Amino acid sequence: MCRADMVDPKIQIENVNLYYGTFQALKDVTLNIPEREITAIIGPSGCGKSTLLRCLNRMNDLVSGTKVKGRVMIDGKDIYHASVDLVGLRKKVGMVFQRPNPFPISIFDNVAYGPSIHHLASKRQRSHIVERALSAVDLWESLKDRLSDSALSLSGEQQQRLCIARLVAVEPDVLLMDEPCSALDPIATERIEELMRQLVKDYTIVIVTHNMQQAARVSHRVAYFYLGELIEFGPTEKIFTRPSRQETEDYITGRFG
Amino acid sequence: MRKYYEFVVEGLIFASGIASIIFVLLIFIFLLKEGLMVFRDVGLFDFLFGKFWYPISEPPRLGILPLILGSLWVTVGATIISVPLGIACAIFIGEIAPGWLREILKAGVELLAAIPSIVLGFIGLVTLVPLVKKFFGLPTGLTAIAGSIMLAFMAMPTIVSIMEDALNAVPKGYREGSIAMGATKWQTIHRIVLPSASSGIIAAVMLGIGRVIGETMAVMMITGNAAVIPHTFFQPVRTMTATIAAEMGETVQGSEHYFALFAIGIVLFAITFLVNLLADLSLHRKPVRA
Repeated sequence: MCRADMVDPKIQIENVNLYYGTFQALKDVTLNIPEREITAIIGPSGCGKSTLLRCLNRMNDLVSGTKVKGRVMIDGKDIYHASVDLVGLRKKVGMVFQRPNPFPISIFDNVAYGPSIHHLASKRQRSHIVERALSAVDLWESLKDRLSDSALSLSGEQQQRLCIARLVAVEPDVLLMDEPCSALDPIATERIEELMRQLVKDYTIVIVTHNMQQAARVSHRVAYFYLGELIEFGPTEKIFTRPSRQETEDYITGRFG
Repeated sequence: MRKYYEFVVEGLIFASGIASIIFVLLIFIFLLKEGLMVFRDVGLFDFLFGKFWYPISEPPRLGILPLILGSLWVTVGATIISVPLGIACAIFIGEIAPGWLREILKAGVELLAAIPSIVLGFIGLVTLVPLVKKFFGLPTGLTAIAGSIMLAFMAMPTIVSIMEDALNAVPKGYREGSIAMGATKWQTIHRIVLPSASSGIIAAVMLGIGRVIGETMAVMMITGNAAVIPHTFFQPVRTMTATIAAEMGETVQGSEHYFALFAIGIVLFAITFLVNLLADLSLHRKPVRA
C-alpha cells in the first residue's frame, strides 16, 4: 500500500518542541511525511496530535504564548523562517476542521472565497473554478442548481465536503484534516473516507483521528503520539499488525486509551 | 401545606409576570384616550403635517410637522455620526484590541452609558455649544448639529455593546476557517465576520436610533427649541420630546394643547415601537445570507 522508501518527503518535521506558555505540548518530534499519501496521526486525547497538525499551517500562531522550536520544512523550505509569507503558506496548506465550518454565505461564495481573497481568477473564471472544486468532492451534480442557497442549509456531510471544496479551489498541495468525521454519522464518514482516497492522488493528506479503525482504513502511514511524544511511526499495516513498541500495541488493541 | 405554598408562589410569579404587560396596556390606553381627544378639533392630516405649532394662540394652531422634522434632523445627524463610529469601535474592541485594552475600552463604553443624560446635556451646553458656534461661525450654537453630536455620544454605548455581542456570537470556526485559508485579518472581518453578524449589527443600529429619538433632556438643553421647520443642521430645532417636556407643566389640563401633547406622545410611541420592531425582526431573523 505504501512505498517502502521515502526518498523525497513532502513535509519534514525536525526536532520540534512546542510550548503553550510553560506547558510542553510537543517533545522533540521528528517525522517525515511523504507526498501523495495519507498520513494518520493517532493517540489519546491531549497527546498533541492536533497541536502537531496546527504546526503545519502555523495556526498555532493564533494562540498567544505559543513557542515553537525546531524546524518544519515543506518542500524543503522552513515554514517557521522569518521570511515566510503566512498567506502563501496557508494557501498551500489547507485545513479541514473537526466541525464543518462553511461560512454563512452562499454555496458558490464559499467555494469562490479562496480564489477571491488570493486574487486567483477573474469573476468569470470563478464559476469554472467553483464547478471544478465541487466536482472534485462529488457535490457538483447535486448542488449545481442551488449554488445561491446558503451553505448552512446543507447536511453535515455536504458541509464538510464543501469545506474541502473550498480548499481545493485554491489548489493547495497539502490537506490537513483535524478529525474531519467526528461530527458525522458512520455512512457519511465512509463517504468522506472514499473522498480522501480520491483526493490523495493529487494531494498530500495528514489526518488527525481518534478513530483507530479510520486510521487503519484510509491511511498509508500512521504516527502514534502519547503525551507529546512520537512513540512510533510506520506503514499502517505494520503498525496495526506488528507494532515494534509495546505502548503502541497497548493503544491499538484497546488495552489503554 | 406544601401544595398551598406552591400555589401561592406560582400565583405571585404569574402576577408579577403579567403586571408588566398590564402596566404597558394601561399606559397605552391612557395615552390613546388623552391623545385622541385632540382630533375633535384638528384633523389627523393637519396635525401631522401642519406647519405651525402655536399652541397658545387663539385659536391654537397645532401642526407638529416642525417638531417631527426637528426630531428627524437631530436623529439623522446623530445616526450619521454614531453608526460609523460605533461600528468601528465595536470592531476594534471585539476583533482587534488585545485583551487588556479590550477590557479598558469596554469599561469606558459602559461608563459612557452610565452618565445621566442631564449631565451630558449640561456639559454639551457649556462646552459643545460654544464650540459649534465658533467652528461654524453661527449666530448661536444651539442648533440641530449640536444636538446630533451630543446624541451620537449617547447612542454609542448602545450601538457598541450590542454590536460587540453580535461579533462575539460569530462562531470561532468561521474565523479559523477563513484565517486557515490564508485570508488576512481584515479580509476575515469584512468578508466573513461582519456579514455573519449583520442581523445583530442592524439591531444595534436600530436600538441606538431608538435611544436617540426618545432622548429628551440633553436635546432640550442644546438644540435651541425653536418650533420652526429646519432647513439645515445649523438652525435651532425643537424635537417632539422636548416639546412635551417643556410644555406639559404649563398647559391647562383638558385643553386642546394638553391633548395635543399626548398626541405627540402617541406619534413618538409609534415611531419608537416601529424602530424596536425592526430591530427585533432583524435580531431574530435567521442569520443566513443567501
